[in-house]
Amino acid sequence: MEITKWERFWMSFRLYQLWCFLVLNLRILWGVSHSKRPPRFVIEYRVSYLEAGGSYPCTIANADRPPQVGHRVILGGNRFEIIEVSPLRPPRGTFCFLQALCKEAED
Amino acid sequence: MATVAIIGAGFAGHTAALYLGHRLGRDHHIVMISKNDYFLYLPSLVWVGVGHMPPEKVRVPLKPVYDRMHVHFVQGTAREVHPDENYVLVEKAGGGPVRVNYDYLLVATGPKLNFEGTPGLGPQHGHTLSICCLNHAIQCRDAYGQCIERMKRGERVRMVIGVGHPRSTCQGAAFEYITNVHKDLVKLGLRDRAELMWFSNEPAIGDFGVGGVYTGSGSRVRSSEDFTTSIFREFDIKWQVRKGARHVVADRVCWEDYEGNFGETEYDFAMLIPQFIGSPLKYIGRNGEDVSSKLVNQDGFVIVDGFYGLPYERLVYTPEAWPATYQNPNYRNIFAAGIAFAAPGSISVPHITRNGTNMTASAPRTGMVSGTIGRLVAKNIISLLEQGRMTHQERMTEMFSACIASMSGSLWDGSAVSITLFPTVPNFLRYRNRCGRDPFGTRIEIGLAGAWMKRMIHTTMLWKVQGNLGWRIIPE
Repeated sequence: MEITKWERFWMSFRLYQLWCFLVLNLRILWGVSHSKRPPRFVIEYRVSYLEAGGSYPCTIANADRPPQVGHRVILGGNRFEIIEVSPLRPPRGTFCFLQALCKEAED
Repeated sequence: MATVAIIGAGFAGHTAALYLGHRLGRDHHIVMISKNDYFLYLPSLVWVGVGHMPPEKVRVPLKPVYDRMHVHFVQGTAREVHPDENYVLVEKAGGGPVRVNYDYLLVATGPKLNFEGTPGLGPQHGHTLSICCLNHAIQCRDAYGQCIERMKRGERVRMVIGVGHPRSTCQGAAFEYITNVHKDLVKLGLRDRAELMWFSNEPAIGDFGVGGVYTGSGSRVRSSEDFTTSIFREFDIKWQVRKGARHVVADRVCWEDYEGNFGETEYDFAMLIPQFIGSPLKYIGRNGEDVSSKLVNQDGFVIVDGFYGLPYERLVYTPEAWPATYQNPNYRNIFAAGIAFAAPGSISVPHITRNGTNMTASAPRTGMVSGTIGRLVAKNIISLLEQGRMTHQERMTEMFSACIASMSGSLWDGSAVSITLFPTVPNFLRYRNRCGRDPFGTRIEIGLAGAWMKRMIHTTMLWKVQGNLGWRIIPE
């Protein structure tokens, strides 16, 4: 479909183009605001807790943030300290599988 | 105190540096590694290439900006990345190698212009010109000036403008150049002495590597093909699409077309955009072994959290195949943004000729898309440092982008094609229409308003990249 003579007239009609310019600005702002996703994106972490050299059996738990070295966790009524965190498999999309190596907390 | 290193000060890298420096610069160490000491505003190179804008108006010195934003600037070329030991080896400008350690790395190198992919292409070792970097645009301007002199002497000049590889992208820049050349020649009264030819690998004229754009509704649906055809007819520009340059000699481009036929197009002046490939960084493991396969694909683009290897027919119905966080799955502290990240496929319909040549316009991810991804990665790195987790995602199947293709820079009688895409990559599951995009957010318009917009974007973007007052409210 070719550009018509009528459309060509509007393309160079400055008052109409001023309107188009304003609409184009608004459309860009609308598009940017719609494509900017609010920070609601959360990675789901699945953490396998393992006691280093100990007798405590492995526990798998879901979490919304990764475990940190030095943090304390309570597993089966016992307090453990995390000494190492490593990925069990590479993260895919919003899912991440980690292994947290623990030792029994001293205090 | 963490160190965040960024390689490349283009749209993606510089935008990320601004956000990171602003938020973390005082408490953490932000390092920018760039071979140039200036930011180059690429979209205006088209005006440099026709001599309408002096080169100094498209670049911004980086050092003063980074000093203000608490970003440490290292001018040099990154040669090696050691992802196991978390450092980058940089060859400093005018000095030896320097080791830059990092906790998080953003690869935003932009592309390597693969002139070698088409024998005879390029201004350095070939016969054609380009407007992809400042030196090339200046060379192009000078060669164009010589053509004008020839035309003034009464000679007739054949000008071929488009893309120079079967897998090239960035057809929009070439489109801008050919229309600007046309308008310039009209003003000089020399248009009747030039034969303009559009040469492209697009599956259809007006595809621009994004699968074309449709606007309007009902019986008044118009496509970018309609608009581009009309413009070229009005401007008396001939076109050859569905053709990939095989090699270039001094006076002709040798090509293969979609059907696998071979042919030649003669020229006196040729501006052909090369193929883009990943930057030639070496990725070296702990024991000196090559770990590139964990980080980059065969074209050198950084693998991120997309699904790779899907056939086109499945990819168009799998919007989640496009990356969301731009994080490398094997090295979680390495991100990629802009052209440097590996797209999971093309947006345009791919094509293999009967001779086995892959003739597919690659997915464009320059300009606004680059800046948006740079901002997103910066915000995720900020979140990782402050909260221990990423908080942002934005796939190209949900990302807005705008492209203003200037046809003449004049604010009084200029014109431009304004294309807005929402989303940039069609999402046929969400938008069940012909082009898989939002009908309000996706428009193509031609007129003086576009010329005003192009000039306004030039001014506001240069304001933004200098980190001046209000830079954060200006969209990327």
